[in-house]
Amino acid sequence: MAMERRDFMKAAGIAAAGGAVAGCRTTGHILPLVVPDQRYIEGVPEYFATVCRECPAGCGMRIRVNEGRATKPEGNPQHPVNRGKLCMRGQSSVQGLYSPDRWQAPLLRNRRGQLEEVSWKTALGRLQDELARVEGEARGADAVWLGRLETGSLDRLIRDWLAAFGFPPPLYYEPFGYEALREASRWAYGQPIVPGYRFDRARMILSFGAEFLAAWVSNVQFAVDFALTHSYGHTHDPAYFIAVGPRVDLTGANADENWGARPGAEALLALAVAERVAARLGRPLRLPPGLPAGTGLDAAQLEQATAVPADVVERAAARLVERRPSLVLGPGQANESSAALTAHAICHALNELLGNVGVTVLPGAPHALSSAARHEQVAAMFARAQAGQVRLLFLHHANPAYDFPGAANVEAALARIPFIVSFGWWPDETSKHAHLVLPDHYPLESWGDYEPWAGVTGLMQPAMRPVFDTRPAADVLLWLAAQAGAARQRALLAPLAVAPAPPLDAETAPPGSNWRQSPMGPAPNPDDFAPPAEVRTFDAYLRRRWQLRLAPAGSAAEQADAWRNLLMRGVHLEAPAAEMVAGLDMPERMGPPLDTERRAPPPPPMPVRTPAALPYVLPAPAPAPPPSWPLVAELEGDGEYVLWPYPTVQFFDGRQANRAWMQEIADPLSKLVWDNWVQVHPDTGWKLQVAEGDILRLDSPYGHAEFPVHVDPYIRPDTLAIPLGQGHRDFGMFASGRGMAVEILASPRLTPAGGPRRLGVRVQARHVGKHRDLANLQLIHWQRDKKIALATTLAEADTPAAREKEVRATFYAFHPHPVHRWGMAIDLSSCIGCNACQTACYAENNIPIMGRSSCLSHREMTWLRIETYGGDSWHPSTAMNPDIRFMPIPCQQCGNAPCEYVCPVFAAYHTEEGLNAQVYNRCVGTRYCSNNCIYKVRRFNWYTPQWPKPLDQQLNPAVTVRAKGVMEKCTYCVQRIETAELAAKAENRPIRDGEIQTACMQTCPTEAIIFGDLRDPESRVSKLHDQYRGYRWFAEENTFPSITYLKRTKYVLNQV
Amino acid sequence: MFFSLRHLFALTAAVLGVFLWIFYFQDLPYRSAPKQPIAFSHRVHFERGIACIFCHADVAKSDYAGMPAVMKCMGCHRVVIPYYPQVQILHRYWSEQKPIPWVRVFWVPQYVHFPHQPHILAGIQCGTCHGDVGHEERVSEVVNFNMGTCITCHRNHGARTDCFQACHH
Repeated sequence: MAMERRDFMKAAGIAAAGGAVAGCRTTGHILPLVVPDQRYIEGVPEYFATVCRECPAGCGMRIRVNEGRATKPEGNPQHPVNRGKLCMRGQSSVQGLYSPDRWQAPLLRNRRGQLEEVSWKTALGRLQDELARVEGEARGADAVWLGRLETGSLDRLIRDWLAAFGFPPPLYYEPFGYEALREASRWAYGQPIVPGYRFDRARMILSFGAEFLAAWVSNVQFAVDFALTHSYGHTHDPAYFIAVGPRVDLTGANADENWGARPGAEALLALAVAERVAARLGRPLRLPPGLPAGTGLDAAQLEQATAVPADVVERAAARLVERRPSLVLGPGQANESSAALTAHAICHALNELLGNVGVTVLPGAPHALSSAARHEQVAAMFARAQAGQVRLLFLHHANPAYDFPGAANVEAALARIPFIVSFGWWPDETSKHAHLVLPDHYPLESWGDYEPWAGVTGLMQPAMRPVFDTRPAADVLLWLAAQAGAARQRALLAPLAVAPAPPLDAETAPPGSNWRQSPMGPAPNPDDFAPPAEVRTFDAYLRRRWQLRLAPAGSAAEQADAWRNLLMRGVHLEAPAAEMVAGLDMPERMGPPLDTERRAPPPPPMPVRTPAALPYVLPAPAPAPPPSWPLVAELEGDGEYVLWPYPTVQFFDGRQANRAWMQEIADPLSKLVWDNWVQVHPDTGWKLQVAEGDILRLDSPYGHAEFPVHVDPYIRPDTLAIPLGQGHRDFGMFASGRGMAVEILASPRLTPAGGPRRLGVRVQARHVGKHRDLANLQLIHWQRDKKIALATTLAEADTPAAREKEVRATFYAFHPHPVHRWGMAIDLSSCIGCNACQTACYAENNIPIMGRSSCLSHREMTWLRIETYGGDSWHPSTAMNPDIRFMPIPCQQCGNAPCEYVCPVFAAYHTEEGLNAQVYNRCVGTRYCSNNCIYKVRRFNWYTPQWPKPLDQQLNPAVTVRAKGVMEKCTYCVQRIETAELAAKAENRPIRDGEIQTACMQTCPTEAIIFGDLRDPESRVSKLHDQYRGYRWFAEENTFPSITYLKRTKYVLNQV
Repeated sequence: MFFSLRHLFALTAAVLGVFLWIFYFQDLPYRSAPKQPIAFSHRVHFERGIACIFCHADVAKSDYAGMPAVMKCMGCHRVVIPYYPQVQILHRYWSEQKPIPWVRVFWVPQYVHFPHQPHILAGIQCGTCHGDVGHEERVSEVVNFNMGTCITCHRNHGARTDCFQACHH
């Protein structure tokens, strides 16, 4: 099966290379396949199920492949984590695959100290020599594996390989390691795990900083679940969400209440809430020994210490008691501080007190992040390296020289390691120290499996042939073991040896058996069997392992069948999965929740089962229990401002910064692109005498750096916030040199839980008299009296009071739409502003990247933008409680479009199905249409679009690549409409509602965007158009748009 | 000097005019019949009763008609006239496992979306656009692939003529 596919890929790749690169339909040659493939029809895209490995969340992905080129990632609807949705990082995975920065062949450092291309033979030979040398010195323990988080088969292989060579177990380094949360879980549940969460069951959410809609644990999954419980489009009893933090981030922007708490006071605040809840419930709070049961502060003192009024805390406690089940979350990445452990422990206690454990918090279904190494372990390794005790370092997609606290020390330690092997994809700050580079396949080219939650395993298969001369790291490991002798090879292949039926469920497993640790049963004595001869590569290893697991006693044909079915489905589920994910007990969520059902009663709590055996190997426990439980975070330095480095949805920990899309698509809140910045409150800006773009020099006890200022009111005046993930020094053509990295200022000290102290320094700030223009794609965030993004209250949402007045009059006859009129409904109460739709649009529609200078002159090309509106910046009632509204804006496809009348060449006209067409080959570039468009959704190609090779391979062949001088715009993915229309015609049936999914609708995690036929009164979109809270944007201009926005629904409106 | 600059201008204009006249108003049979890597004769195959769809098998399923895989050619020519010189070239491609670089004859610009499938399902004969390929030794572009050709045919068949949704997107 696998080899067949490979052959086919080979042939398809050849065909693609010659003829099918978009825009090359007129090239001279047509290359046929050499060997036909029954399943392959040239011109019909194929979909392969795989796993998104852009972050540890491990969403299921279905990747579209056109003529052997992966062109568009989409979510796998069968995968319970993301249920068919992806975030913008997942959408950008194809830009990683085709990144122009990728290493194209093995590299070896030559005598002059430069990396030089060599053959695989030379490179592997050198690695063999180096291994022999380490072994010869009998210092095997001095070799270290430092990689990103792996689970499943690759994890097993790496561990077995390291063990076979006598090296210590791998360090899976994740910059977002959740050390405090895990350490608190060890106290609460007995195991240092990241527990599972069920947001969809929570009727109230209180978050002390967890950025669960942006970068926290599994953000797509949480966004889907959050919409289910918090959006008026999904439930008429929305959960009440309180976000705590000194800055309104993407998650906080979706909250009903923001507490602008003093940074570092989260633990104190959590304890204040907890003691009030305990008093109301009349039950004691179970806290770790050494932690007082109450704050011991009166109202004034509490407000003094936390900057949150006591009555606000009291009200929240009352709500928590009233609205159960609820979910209390601790600090996130930004406020991982010395007190984060305490805060997490209190949150665990609060969840237990409120009866959330087993309902919304599931310690029985932990996340893969539980097995990541703690920062403390990595720091210890670097300390050994500094002392010259690390002889050999294997780097596997980890970049500590950029993101480890105290990166300068890391560079010094790396310089002292005699030999560094990088299994990387591209050069970065760490791998530039490598002596040998063995480029790895990109995940979209690889085989593998990944188990994000215990019991949920996604399968990865290559979607295409490798773009470059790369080899999977696992293949290299298998080859090295085979070269090192039969004993080592046997040890490595031991998991494939015997196959007793694995118990599928923890309940049925014999007591005491380690039911998950080795699904193949106890490993036999490696000397008893000969290794399966065919297992030379990781794909054979993986296949064999899964065949044994799926059909241990089956025939070869049955096993092959099981394996093929698994690959097609892309996900394998086992016992703990069911309680983990909302998708499993709500498979029909895609149906129309129009007459929104009352919320189902919460299920009875699951037994709090601390898993006896995890599928993950947990890192060695911390050497000593934390000595104390500080309630307030320690902040080093005597500066006036607290530094708040926060993760963003686009850059995560910085690993996605080398994607052009991530740089060009505007940050959800600041709307800045291609830069790094420091967010400053207007009052602070006044005090420091800086305006937008002025350079501020920040001095922390550990370093100084300069950032351009972005003035934005949704931050405390005593806090300066800088996004994580920018400021790379050496990370490819798109990411390098974009300002400075906030890590320069961060404290290299670690927290009691062994994590980084991201929140831990105070800084001094001063204007240095320089200026840098920031490219801002939305200059005004205040609606004034313009009716743009509207909202209504919960009480009025379903009543005629929410209805907007609408005008519809014209001198001329309305356009007839005889068969279809395509339209959209966009629910502003669901939209969380995550930018996934915009990235999907870039991927689907071949939208060019313009770069910073063009964005400065507002020549960005995005067809779909998201406008973010808050209130008047200086209005006291909105200062920290801003009622932010996100508004996705594609072309409104007006029924009475201003653009159409003014086109002198009939390039912009109205089609019979209601689209405002743009015929690119007819356009002469007068730009009258764009001038006349009141929504400003048309984009003009000022320059010839550029795709640095091989990024051009990502282009969608179904969409024309536009040239310079041509106007372009959103067309509701007309190519998808046409494909569906032709398919329906071929099958002689009408188009089904929901059959056409535009790229934006397909990926929207909250289902805020619904597309369909307005002529069909039964379609979902027509019904949404009829809702009271639906309105058409600028309806008073008589444009008669085909998009109806549904008003955002809030408990209280406070936008002015 | 009886051949002045003015004469030169007039002459140039006249020549250009003739060219323009031919280019715009004379519907020249637009014949391009490039040399192919193998002197493949459609006529020989067609006259032996092999239908177009036998080799161009994807035409009713895909945007593209599809070219037969080298293996498919070999399916017959392993036994049918295997020593004929042109078939020997085929054998060479097969033994090297390389695709045959057929030279493209029919094409539409990148901004035109021409899917074969709906046309075949509507019962349009291949020859309507591709000419009488079945009786040609070397395939040539007989029908002028300009927009007028498409529109005329679409009108005659009552097919869709929406510029954007039908073709140019």
